[in-house]
Amino acid sequence: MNPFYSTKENEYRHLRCGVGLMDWRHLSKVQVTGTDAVDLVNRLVISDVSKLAPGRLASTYMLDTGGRIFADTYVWNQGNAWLMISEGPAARDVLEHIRACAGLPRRAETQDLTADKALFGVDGPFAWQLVGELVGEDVLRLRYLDAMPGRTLAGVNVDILRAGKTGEFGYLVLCPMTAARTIWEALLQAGKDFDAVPCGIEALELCKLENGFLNLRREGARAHNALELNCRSLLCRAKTDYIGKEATERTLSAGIKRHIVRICLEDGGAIPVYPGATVKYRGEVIGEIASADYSFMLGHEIALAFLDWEYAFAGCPYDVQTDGGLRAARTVSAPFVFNNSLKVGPRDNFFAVHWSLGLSPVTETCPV
Amino acid sequence: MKIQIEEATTRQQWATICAIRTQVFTTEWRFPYATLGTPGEPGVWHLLARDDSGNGIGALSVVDTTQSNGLHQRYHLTFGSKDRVARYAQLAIVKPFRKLGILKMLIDEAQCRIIRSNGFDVGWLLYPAARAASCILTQSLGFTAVWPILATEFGQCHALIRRESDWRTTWDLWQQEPQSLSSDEPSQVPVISARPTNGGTATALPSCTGAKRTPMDQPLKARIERRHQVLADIKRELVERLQLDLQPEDIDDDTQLFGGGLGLHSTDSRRVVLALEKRFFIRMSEGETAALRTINTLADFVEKARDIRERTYESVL
Repeated sequence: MNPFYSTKENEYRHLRCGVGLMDWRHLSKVQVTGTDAVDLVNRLVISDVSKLAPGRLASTYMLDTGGRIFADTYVWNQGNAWLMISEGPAARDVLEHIRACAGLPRRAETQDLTADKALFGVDGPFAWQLVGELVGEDVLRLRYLDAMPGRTLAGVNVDILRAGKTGEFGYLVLCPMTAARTIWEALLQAGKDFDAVPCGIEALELCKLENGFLNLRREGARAHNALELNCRSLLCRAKTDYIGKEATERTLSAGIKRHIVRICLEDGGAIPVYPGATVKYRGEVIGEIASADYSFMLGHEIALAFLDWEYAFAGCPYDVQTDGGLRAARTVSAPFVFNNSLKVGPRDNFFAVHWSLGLSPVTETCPV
Repeated sequence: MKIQIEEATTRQQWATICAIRTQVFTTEWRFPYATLGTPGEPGVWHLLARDDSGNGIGALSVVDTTQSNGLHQRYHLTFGSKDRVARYAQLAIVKPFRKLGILKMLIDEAQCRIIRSNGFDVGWLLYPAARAASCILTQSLGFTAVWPILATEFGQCHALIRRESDWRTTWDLWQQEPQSLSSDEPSQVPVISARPTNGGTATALPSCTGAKRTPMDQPLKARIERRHQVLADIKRELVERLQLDLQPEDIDDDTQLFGGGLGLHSTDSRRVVLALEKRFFIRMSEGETAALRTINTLADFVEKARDIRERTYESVL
């Protein structure tokens, strides 16, 4: 269905300057219903979703019993049910996780909707305009992590979720799997006016890195525990219990020994930086690189590194050990980039005049 | 770079101190300054900071003013009849070495070496009035500005005072086993825990590798200490002002303010700006709202604003 992927750089530039389309059908979707549904969901994630208003989403994490992140999850309070959209494990693994770790309260039921529901992402500074033209301008009222169920797109009943992990305007379109082709083709067709292109995982992962969204395959896989990944504000310690609480509390009482920080490598070194490379200060190892990539927007390499807690601050000069020697680096504040969506005002700045915002043309030479 | 601080006892050290002051006060700022008593004279002590090449980069003197009632009256200072009073005087740091925490090092060192050992109860100094409320002396080192503003030969100044017996230096507070600060050897900079509140524990942690570390050098330590202070102040102010259901230590440095993270609404942005104004005495214009993204971007903004403001001065007169 998506044979038209192009290069990572081209896809990235569309996500950053125009509109990119993402196919999220593989994300696991588990619906929880029943009187005790909220208790079950609350036991699965680190946030307190009991305070989540109907029609709102929470971006949170599921942990394993060792306190490491198991899944990156959106929880949607649908009013009479809870939908958990998870990135990372397959749906069967999520269900197995629930059974193995949480057990099922008597009055809660889970249903795997992964094969029944398709999910597509529309991201970019002008995603709002594309989605607005397809399902109505009232989607512009949606705040981040708001949901708007029961809209019609290409004759299909869809749910619109205001969410994304690029740092730009982002919408998720949830539709029946049977209508997936119809929806995708409608997005592609309407997207022609926006030069929209399908975007793959590599472009998305670069956007995530630039904006500080968790990448489970990279820094998530190298983290010793969730607390190293800057998720303390999501953590509800007052909750009676959640999976991974014991390990997390143990880590908190012992102290978090590493923190993830952002690193810029502006020296233009010939040898790229890879995950696992050591970070040094005056020859002493103070951490390791967790994820690295070349930022097309910034024009140099950027990285995430786990640093000893006493060194994990922005604005410090460190070195990264590569095969070609030491490369000068500097810790910086998140996010790495100033997103173009922050320059675009819905209803004020339309794609047709995006060149006036310095975002044109959406090509390989786009001067972001 | 390793900064060493020594007490001046020789003519050579005194000459270095005078050269620093001439460079800073006379050449750079064109302020008049009186020569204090030379090393060895009673009631006056001098500290000299050197870089790792041995070059003099900063100086501070401590003068016993216990009996100088006229001077105290002129600056509207009142002390207890039994108080022993010392003035921190003529602190000067040469230009390339400013903003590295040397000011704090010298003040702390003066307290360790001179104030305590000579039994002083109160310390004071004059500081430019425009920056008195937001400088490191009042923000982090326990000094309080005395009203009214004084018209001095150095311009408008506040007298800043500190009850020395109430004040403990950074390493008193953070070091479980402070290194001794020998008076006849250049001090070695002790390791300072830069993030004392870590996951609910106040004890220093080992490195993530478990390896014993060599002490962090002074410029980095000063940089991190300063950053840590700004971050802690921002978190505390936001929690209090916005009545967040969080403790300051539960907020990571890269936590987003809006959307995810702290979950603030756009309507809260004005309150964040007001919190910064109140706590740090800085204003944020409309063109600077890009700073309202994460705790760390707020800290960048605060530090930049302070740098601009402090570029004018780093000399305590």
